[in-house]
Amino acid sequence: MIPPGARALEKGRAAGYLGALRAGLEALAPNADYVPLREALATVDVLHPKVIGSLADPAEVDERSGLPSLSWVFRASGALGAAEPVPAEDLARAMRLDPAIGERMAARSRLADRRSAPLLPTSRLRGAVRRRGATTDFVLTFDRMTPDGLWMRMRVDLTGPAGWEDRGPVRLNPDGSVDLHEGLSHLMGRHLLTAIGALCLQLQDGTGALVTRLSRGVVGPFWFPGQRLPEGVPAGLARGLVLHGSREILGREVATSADQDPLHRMLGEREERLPPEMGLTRERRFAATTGLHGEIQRWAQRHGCAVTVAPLLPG
Amino acid sequence: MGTKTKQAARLAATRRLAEEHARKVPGHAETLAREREILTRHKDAVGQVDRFALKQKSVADELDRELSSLLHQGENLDVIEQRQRETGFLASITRRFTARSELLARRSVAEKLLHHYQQVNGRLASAARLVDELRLTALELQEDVDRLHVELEEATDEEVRLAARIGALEDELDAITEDPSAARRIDQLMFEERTATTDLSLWEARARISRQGLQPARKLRDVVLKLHEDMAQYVTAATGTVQEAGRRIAALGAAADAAVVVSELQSSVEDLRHAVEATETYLRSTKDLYLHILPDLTAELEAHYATQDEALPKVSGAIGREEARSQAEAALVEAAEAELAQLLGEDPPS
Repeated sequence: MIPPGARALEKGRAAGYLGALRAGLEALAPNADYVPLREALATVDVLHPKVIGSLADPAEVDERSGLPSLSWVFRASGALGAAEPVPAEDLARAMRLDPAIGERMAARSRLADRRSAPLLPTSRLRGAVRRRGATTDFVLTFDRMTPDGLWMRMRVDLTGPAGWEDRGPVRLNPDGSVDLHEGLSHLMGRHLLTAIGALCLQLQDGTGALVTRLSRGVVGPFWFPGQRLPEGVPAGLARGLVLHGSREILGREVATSADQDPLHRMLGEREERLPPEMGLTRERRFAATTGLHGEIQRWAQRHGCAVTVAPLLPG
Repeated sequence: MGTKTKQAARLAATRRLAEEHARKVPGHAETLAREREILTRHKDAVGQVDRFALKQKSVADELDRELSSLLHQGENLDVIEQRQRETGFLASITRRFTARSELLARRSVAEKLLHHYQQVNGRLASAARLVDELRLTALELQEDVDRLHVELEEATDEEVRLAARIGALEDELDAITEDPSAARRIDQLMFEERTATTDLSLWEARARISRQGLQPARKLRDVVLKLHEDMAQYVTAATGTVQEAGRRIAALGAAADAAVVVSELQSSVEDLRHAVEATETYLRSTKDLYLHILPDLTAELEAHYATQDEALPKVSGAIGREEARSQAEAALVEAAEAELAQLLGEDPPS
């Protein structure tokens, strides 16, 4: 059963789709404001039928984002967690008795070899201390797969007067490690789509510290032939492969606010009120098949945006 | 053709027949080894079924625990939501003081649900692996059953052939037994009869071993088949409901509005409740396996191991004609009974 919002890839299409997505990720080369590239690539690799066989079937993409659906990724990570090595004689026995089961056992064995591969987490909050002095500064990263399959990272730079690290929901241990109040990740999880200015205020309320920089980097959507594009986007962009990387940065160091995100501007979303002394920038980068570069640039220019487009060369 | 050539040809034919005969008739050691092999296979299979049953119970228990946690988290959210809806003066004062802690506490629910949902997916994958292992074992046990049938058929055919041969030898012996010039022929026939009787004993032993092995092999196969059917059905049902609940749980992460969250959650909690009920029913149904089926099966096999020596033929000492005749007759009766049982679809008499 395919959940609403997801559609199954046609039989035999998963390998090509994942190969294209992998090439897109490599071309996009997301930085530290995005989910780690290594984890994104490992996730794509595990989903590949040559690795996971039919264990996570059906292979399905989210209709909105064009990225692997959350349930496909959940099934894959469940299969990865349950994978155990299969001795060669057991595999041979299975192949002889029932080739379909033999194939599944071979896939489990391949997955067992990859159990240590760092996959994208469904939800993960990590913290690290950046400075101790008159103030104590922390950086938090919250990585999350959104319900529509986008891969999101929120990155928060927090600062507070010396001593707050012993009282607040972000605690510094003597060995330099950081303990985070469980509720923090849940607070961020609940505000995936909240406007970034309001999110900033929520985080300040929740932590009792000052947010100096807050970014939200999103990998996706991924447009490919057959994928539905948002209304207003030139239909020609579905002729090839287009992977998006978008980022919002709210910060005290952002002197001039700017919106260079054609999709955001196209949707004509209302500009939000920002916390005092903070600026906001939005940008969108693309990895796209060479034939589409001109069309993407023209579309962005029509919305007053300058964008960078990296060549996506599917292997 | 000269006399010498004829004699040589006859000798060669006799040698060839003797070699073929020696190859085909199961030796005493071979029969004993085969019996031990069957018994060992059964012992191993019982052990395996035992391990499967334990694994199956543990997988279902873990799934039950995770699903219950999911339900519990869902109920927590309801309680918090209810508290937020309270509009009294005292409630508003309390809320002001507890705002930060509640802000963090309340928002933890959706994330916990997601975490548990991921755990449930892992458990389902383990259960799916077990379903495959059960299916393979059932197929293997079916192969054992099939092999025993083939062996039984071959042994019964040989019993019939040898019984008929003994009958023919007896007839010929009856006809020439008073003839003083037939001493050499009588010796030849008696030698052949003794050989045939020994072979018959060996084939009878082989048939008995196959027949006795069939019932426990079939029972083991059926137990594993039942485990497989139950588990496969359960996993399919649980996967359906869990996936549906998961879609809603995943969507919670983006729903900032509390009313939407609660309404979505009600549906997913309902789905999960079905999955929990299915797990509990399943766990109840497997109780019979631990309490009755497996202990009975083990007891039956142990009784069978205890009598294994009786199944082997006693072939020492001279066999008289009377004994050979009665053995041949018994073999024919046994073969007829086995054929009848097969026609009626019953277990062959052991």
